[in-house]
Amino acid sequence: MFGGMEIRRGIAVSPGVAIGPALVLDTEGIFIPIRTVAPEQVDGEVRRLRAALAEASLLAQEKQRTLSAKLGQEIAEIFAAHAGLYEDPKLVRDAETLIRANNYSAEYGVSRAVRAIMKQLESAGISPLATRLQSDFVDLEKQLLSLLQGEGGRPLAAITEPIIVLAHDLTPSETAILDPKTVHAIATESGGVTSHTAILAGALEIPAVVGVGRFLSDISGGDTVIVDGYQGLLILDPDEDTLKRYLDLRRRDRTASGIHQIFHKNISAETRDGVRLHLYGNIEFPSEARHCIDRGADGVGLYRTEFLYVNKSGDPTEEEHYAAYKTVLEEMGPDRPVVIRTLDLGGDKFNGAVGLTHLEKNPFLGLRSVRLCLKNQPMFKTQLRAMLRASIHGDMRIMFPMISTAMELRQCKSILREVQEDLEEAKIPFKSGIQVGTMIEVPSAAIMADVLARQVDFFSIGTNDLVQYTLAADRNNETVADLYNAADPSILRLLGHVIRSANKASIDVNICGEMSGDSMFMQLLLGLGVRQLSVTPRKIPELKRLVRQMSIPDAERVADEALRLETAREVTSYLREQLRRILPDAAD
Amino acid sequence: MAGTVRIQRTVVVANPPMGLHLRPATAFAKLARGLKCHVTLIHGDRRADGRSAFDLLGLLAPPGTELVLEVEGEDADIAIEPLCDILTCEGDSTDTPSPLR
Repeated sequence: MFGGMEIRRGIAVSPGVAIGPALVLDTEGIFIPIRTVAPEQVDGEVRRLRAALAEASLLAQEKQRTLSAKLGQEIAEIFAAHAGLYEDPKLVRDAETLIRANNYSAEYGVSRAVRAIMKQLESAGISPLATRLQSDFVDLEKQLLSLLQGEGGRPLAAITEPIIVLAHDLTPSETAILDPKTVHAIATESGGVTSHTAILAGALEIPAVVGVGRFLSDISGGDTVIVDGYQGLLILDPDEDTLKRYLDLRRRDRTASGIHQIFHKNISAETRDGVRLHLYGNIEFPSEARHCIDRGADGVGLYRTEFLYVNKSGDPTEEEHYAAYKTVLEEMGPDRPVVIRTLDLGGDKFNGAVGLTHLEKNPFLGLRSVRLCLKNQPMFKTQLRAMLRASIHGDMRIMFPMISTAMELRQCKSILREVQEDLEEAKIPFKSGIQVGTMIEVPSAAIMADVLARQVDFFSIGTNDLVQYTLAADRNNETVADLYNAADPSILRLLGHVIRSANKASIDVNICGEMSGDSMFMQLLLGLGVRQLSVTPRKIPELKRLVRQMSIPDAERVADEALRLETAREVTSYLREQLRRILPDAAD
Repeated sequence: MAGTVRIQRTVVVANPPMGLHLRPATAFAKLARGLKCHVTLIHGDRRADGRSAFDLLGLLAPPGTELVLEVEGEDADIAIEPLCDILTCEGDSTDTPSPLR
């Protein structure tokens, strides 16, 4: 924020609006805790600034002395150069002026002074010298901030005021300590719809925008920013009008979601002609089971277990698995099913964990998800064992992800049987007759759905991967992202086939990708024969409201008509129009 | 005592391969801070205070850049040569990667 409001566009991954001071996280966890101080503290901040500069200079000189003996004059001179920068009259003058004029903290003053120079370099365009100097200044800022913050800096967990976290990307260890009470939004430079940050933000119900591109060098911790998780915008240094508009939006948002929730929690998702839909929640963490109940969910349709595996030096133990599953099952109680999906690691998710150390040329077509589990059976069995043990605490169901062939499914089931036999032998109790299902997210599985249906108790269609694999388009790759479209007629046909196959075999079929939470597709899915949807918990009240406006014969007509269309664009405009007819304010 | 002297000289930055980077800039500023005269480096319409490496780096001058060195004050005539020498040093001044990183 050096000279006027800037609007940056990224990918909206978690809805909502937040306004607040930025907390800029770098990889070493150094950040600016407070932006301004009381006027009477300004002298103290200037003293802190001078002390930090003097200390940094001394440290650099000390290093120069010790290193010149060891490594020679040449290398040691770099430290002399750094020492010289810390003594620079302009740096101290600029920082001090900023602090005195605005009651800034020493940290914020230093950061603004350094970043003003970096901005100047940036405006001259990209060159080797500019790049080099930028990184020198980043180091300098880091060094000063870490000295100002004393030993080890202040821990992120100690944040108490509401902030907006800005980062290049969030590491699992950073995300793990984010508290929705204080972290009101997240914006990152990198990442896509399925990135770690996106999943986490959605799970914690924190508005988030990812894939914004470079912006961190244009901002200092403490600057006011707006994150618009509906439109995927990050607004730096908002002007007054914009600020006012977003304050209004935030206020309306809060009221609306409150009303939604109260109205729709205790009514069922029934069509006008009395057909009951089951709405389940997708969750990531045990604590989210509560969100499902609060939103009136019929159960958990997708419990992702990947988080047990990240942020750890080794694989999770059986007890860690068990404790997490037991918590969710007990929270949901005996009448609400919980579908636990076995490890779905790989592709873009958490590469590097679980021994995925080798680089694959094409990770999305590589060793991921259930393929990884079948190759690493001890790890797979540990998870299955914990699931079975936890099964006595509720209505647990097991689901295998990314099945591509009937053979894979057979292998998974036979491993599950082995684990059951082990438990029987050890006289460890588990429920008998546990339902077992498979994700349908690979086109080969969708095509073979009639065969797979004979092997399982339920299907869950993962539309995100199904769309990506069917259209061979990565939606995070902007050059081909327009091909990625759930409204593509090929997807509609595949869905039709999978749903018919499931209904014919009298097994349940559920949709758990993002398509299921998109109100535009609701009538189509109903019309194709879907009676279960699994969505992020906060979508449930809205979907209930929608279902109650629909009727099965109308939905079937919509589905028939949509299946006759030839392009994604035609399907989209047709479905929008149909939605508008039943709910004028629903389609945008 | 002699009157105030003001000297301007056009200098082509050397210091391959980076040009006016951290080390030459801090060396230049350090030298300038020890002088009685005012030292200014001019790049087009931008002027940088010779005593501040920060200001100098902001000029963003890779090798081959034409700068005007302006020295004004008591020891200007003595100061100009060593200041020029820093900017036009032909030795490879490549830094090893920044040790702070």
